Amino acid sequence: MNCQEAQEAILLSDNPADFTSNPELAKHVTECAACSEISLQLSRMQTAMATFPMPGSAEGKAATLKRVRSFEMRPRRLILHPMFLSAVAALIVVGVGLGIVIYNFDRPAPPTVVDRLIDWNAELADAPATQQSAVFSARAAVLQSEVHDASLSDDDRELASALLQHGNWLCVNTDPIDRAEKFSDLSDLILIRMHRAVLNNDEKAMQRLSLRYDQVVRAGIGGNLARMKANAAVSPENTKKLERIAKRNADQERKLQLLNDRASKALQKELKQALETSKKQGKNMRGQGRVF
Amino acid sequence: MKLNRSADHDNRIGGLAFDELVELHWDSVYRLVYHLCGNLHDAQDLAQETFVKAIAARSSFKVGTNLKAWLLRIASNSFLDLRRKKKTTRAAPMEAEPAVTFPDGMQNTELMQMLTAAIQQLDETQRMVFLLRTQDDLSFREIAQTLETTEETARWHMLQARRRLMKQLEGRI
Repeated sequence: MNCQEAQEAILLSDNPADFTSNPELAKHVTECAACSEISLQLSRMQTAMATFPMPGSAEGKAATLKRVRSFEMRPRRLILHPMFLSAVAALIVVGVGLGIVIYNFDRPAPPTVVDRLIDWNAELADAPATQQSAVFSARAAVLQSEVHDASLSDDDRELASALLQHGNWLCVNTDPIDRAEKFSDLSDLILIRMHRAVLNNDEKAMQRLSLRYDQVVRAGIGGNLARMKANAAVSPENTKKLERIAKRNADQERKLQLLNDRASKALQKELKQALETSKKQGKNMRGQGRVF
Repeated sequence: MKLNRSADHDNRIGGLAFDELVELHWDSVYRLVYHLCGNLHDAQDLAQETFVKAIAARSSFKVGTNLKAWLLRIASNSFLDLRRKKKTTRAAPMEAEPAVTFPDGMQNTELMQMLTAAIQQLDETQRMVFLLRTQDDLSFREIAQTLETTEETARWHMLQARRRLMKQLEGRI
């Protein structure tokens, strides 16, 4: 090893004063004054570096300690995993959805234009003869426009048209038995839809229909029959009409019982209400002393 | 529930509380940044910034690796960031700042002044390799990891640094 190689090895070494890992270099440094001097100078430089005073170190350290201690005292901010956040968001969505379902669980669906038409017919049935025109004109045009604009199934559109015509007819026909018979037709149409609601297990539709069936039977049929009884003796012609109404009522009672047997428990509550209305109407008619 | 946690506990790095980390490694970090930037105020700011950054990034520290080398790497990168920032905001480079003077009562020897000035004349990588080896006793492998280079390159920079310092301090050390 010559001096150039030795000096390069010293400059590359881990420690310029310790050559135990390189015996050849250690031997050269021991024997060469120039290379030994380089080794000594580098060692002195290293020692000087190790003892180098650091101005400003104490102040900087104190300030840094103060700052990092404030981190330790600060409550740790939770960094939530995106999967966890997604799960929370999904739970909130499901919770809100469930809340809406539960909130609306026992609430009937908002009335449709068909429901409003039935209500209007029931109002016409209840209204005294002198107020018939006012009740009719107050809502006829609006309801007609609603039917025109509404998105209805063919079946519902047919019923809506029938109800509009029924309203017109009620305005000009004041005979209670004829009116009762018209409402009996209407109750049949509602019963057909109740049957459909059972098939679809549509609880909300059943709630609406049961309510309307009660209005039609009680106000439309029962109210007109009561007026007929109060007015005059029943003519033979009207007896036949009454028999038809009573027979239809008995059919409806039977059908409602069948529907009730088939329906789910959720629908039975509404069907029982309709059945009670029908039974009560049959009893009233029988109470009038007529045998149908 | 899964939380992002540091390698150790929430308020610990490599098993050390934040203040213990500063107590144990302050001198190493401060010495490095002091010699790198050559002035007291930048050195204080950089050293503090190094620990704050380390605390913020504690989840990235791998337990079982060299904590001091990790801190010094943060310090080196912080210095390079500061230098870049200063280059874009003012014409004068950091090296052109006044030479370091030692406060009263400290060893204000001629050798220290010369050594400081000589170190400032080294290029950045040579300075970092020289300081990491002589001041912080990192192995060349650790220096290579800290500076993201190879061990051979780190040794070559050390050779160049020692050679230049020997030349500048010739006959005075």
